[in-house]
Amino acid sequence: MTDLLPGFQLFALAAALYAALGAMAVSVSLPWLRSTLQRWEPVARHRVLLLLASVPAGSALVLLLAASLPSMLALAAPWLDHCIVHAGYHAHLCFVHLPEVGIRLGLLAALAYLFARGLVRLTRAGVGFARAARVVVGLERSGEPSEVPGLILLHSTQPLCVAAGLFRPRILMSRGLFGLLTPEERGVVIAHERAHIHRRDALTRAMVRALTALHLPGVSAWLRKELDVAAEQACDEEAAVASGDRVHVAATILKVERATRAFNAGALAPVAMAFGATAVERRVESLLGSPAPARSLRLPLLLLAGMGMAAFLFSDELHHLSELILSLIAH
Amino acid sequence: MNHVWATGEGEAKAVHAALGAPRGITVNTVQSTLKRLYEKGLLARHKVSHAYVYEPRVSREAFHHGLIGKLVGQMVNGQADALVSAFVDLTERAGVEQLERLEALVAERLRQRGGGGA
Repeated sequence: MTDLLPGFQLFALAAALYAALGAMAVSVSLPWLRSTLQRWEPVARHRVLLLLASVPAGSALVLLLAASLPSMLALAAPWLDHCIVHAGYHAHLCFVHLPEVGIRLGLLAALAYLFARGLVRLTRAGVGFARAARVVVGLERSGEPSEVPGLILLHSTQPLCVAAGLFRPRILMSRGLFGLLTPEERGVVIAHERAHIHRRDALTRAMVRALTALHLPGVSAWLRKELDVAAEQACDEEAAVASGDRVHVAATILKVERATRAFNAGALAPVAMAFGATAVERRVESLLGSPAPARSLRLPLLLLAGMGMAAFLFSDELHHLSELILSLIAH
Repeated sequence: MNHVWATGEGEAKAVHAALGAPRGITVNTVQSTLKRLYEKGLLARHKVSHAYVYEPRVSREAFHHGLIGKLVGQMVNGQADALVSAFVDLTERAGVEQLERLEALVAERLRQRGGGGA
């Protein structure tokens, strides 16, 4: 088992480098992405942002598989083994000739730190998630089922409406908000939350939280924020279709925002200006404008598929380049 | 809790007859559940003859108020954001000026529409 450790270290370092490459690629293209995606309709924008969020993890997986392809072929067909040509010259990213020495101590410590940090974050997220789930279950069970299917009423004056739950989400609405809204406005809020449930936004968000951990901090925060806004806007569009009136949806958002602000004066977060306009501003302005035309994702998907295929087509070159870089930094 | 809130009070046998029997739950299970809720401070109890009669110590409103406060706190701290989507984002508030500007835009749009339709 200990014989495998140096090889495991080298493969882990390669995966980290590929993930970093993906993260850097997204980071470099961020200014262009910001201006381009702003013009896209929310459903397509959300999907592209999801693809972007998965770029580092995807890069690590695809590039590691592609770079390991020559070694896997050698494993299946020994006469294809090329390592003997450059035996002893550089690090072998190879299952047949696993390296005998581990990577530099500094790199190993950096990898161990990243892994431990990821584990701590994951544990914290898990604990937070379990606590929140307990509260949601408590509200669901003690709430009062309403005449509207899937809607649970909470006995509180605090204006609140949420879609809560990962696999079987429910809509929880406080009596405070229920009484504040007209039946038409309630319809808008419920249609919006139902859209979250149909789109499985909670599950997507949980996945995104894990995927964006591999991005650079600024990019990660931008992706999470943009994904949240895109999901809200997509649900607003579905609510607009259900109610047949985009301005009415915008007015309902403002009414709920005003009520939330009045109830929580001072208790909730102040104005957030980190990324310019707040989500409410962007949602309302989008609803007051004309709906953006639907976008096809064919081009970005073809581009990604092409890049993946190129990685496998040039797996020999990728394998050697990776070994060259690993030789320079690993030992 | 729902049953006790609805009826005002009840002893284990009555709660079992209403909730436990239809679900195939034994009187003992109902008794221990009521005891746990009493220990958590959600129910009060007094003895009548040989049996404890339970009544809510916390109203449904107070219970929900506490849980909603917790949930909002968890959403603001980012603990619940993978589990809960709120109709309006609780982690940021639009500024007063922005809110007024947007409300004016919506009112203007509604006025135009009303005028156009007249």
